[in-house]
Amino acid sequence: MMEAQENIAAALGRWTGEEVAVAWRLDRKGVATGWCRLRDAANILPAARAMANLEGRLSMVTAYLPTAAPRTGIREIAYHFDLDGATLTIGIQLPAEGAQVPSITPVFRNADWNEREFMELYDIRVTGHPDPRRLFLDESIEPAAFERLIPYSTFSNGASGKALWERVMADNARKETP
Amino acid sequence: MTPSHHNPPAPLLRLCRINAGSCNGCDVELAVTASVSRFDVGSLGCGYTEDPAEADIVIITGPLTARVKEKVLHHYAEVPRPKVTVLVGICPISGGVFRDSYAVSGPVDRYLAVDVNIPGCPPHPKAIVAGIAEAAALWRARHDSAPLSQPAVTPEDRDNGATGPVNVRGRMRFNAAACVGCRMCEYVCAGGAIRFDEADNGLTFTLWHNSCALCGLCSHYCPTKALSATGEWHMAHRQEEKYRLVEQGVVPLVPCSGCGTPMLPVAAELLKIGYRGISRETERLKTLCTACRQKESIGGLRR
Repeated sequence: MMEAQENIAAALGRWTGEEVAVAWRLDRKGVATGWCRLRDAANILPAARAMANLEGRLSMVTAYLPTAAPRTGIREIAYHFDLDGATLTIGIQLPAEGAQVPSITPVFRNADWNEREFMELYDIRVTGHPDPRRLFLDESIEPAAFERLIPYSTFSNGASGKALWERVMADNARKETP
Repeated sequence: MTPSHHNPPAPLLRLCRINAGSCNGCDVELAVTASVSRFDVGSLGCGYTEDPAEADIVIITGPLTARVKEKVLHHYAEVPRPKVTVLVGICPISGGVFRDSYAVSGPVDRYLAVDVNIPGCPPHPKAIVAGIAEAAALWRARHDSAPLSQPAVTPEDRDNGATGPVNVRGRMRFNAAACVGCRMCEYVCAGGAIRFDEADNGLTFTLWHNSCALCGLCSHYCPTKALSATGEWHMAHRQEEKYRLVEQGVVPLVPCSGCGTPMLPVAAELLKIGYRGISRETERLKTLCTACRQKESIGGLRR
């Protein structure tokens, strides 16, 4: 396994032209998980090619806004790959404003929906996507929904539950004082 | 000759069931009351009908989803007066585990007059039959303009435990003496039925049965088993009692033996988990607050 892990880091380095350090962890059952970051976000496309070359599969892609994003101005995307049972997560960092990332759908077809999903939920432009249609949201809704809109559950703030509990506490306080 | 011979037989009361977006769990239990003789509503002089226009008692299941709301209210309006309304399951009563969802318009009593609630997730068929018996008594009192009788089952009866077979998922019980105030139960409660209130006299635990899904997560995660399930299935009650149907307990604060700051007592159940045996030292340490205990422990290391 050690050898395979070194091969992965070497392959990533070769394909991206960056020196990539992968931190590997082994759990109690011997399952390996690797973590690394690319300096240049655009290198995710050659990195995906390196993974395909090693017969890896793409598990899923997660775009997210770290809690510190408003302060740092940095957003992130994590690409999770499976390499013969070991998981490798490649992270990239993008600017909060005007983020742009190349599509890896030409390499891994299952990235299609993941990329279309984060295109509409976050303010991220995906270049070179073969089919950049909307996935969930209607065309009439502006993209970056997660960054502009408030979830209804947050908005309503548990109003019904709050009102019911006020009744419960009021009625039972009365019971105790005869 | 007994007086009953002069009275005509009581008319058959017709029950109409409206599904307001239920998962069908309660409806399955209702089906039992129509088909299994042990739980048969027929023995109460009731029978089911499909037609709301000829119904006397309306039974509603489900949290009243936004999607079905208008249809449910329309259906309900077709039932002639004097109608008696029975809510089956915590969903129509409080919203249950679906409360505060954008897709749910309930609780049902926001839109129509409710008479009897039968909490549970789902309620036991025996509880449903008891609730329907209550509804039938209400209907007859309303129809004959007779004064309202006492509820068929009083809260005292419930507390004295109408219990079922051991495998019944009944109401939860709280033992304040074993509670360590970790609030894990409040956190894991699927129906949001548990809350804690801090006051000078102690920590008050409140569990509202009308929101409890009887899932048992609270007792599963309770480290000291201060919460436990009982076999008490009987929780059907009149609407006036809706908000009073609670399990409550206070964990009184005790002063720290070191500094006198009020603190939650250390439950014996917790010590049993933490220590194989209770030494005199442990007995003494447990009367100290966290800050004093830290000081004691660090001081104790100095030799």
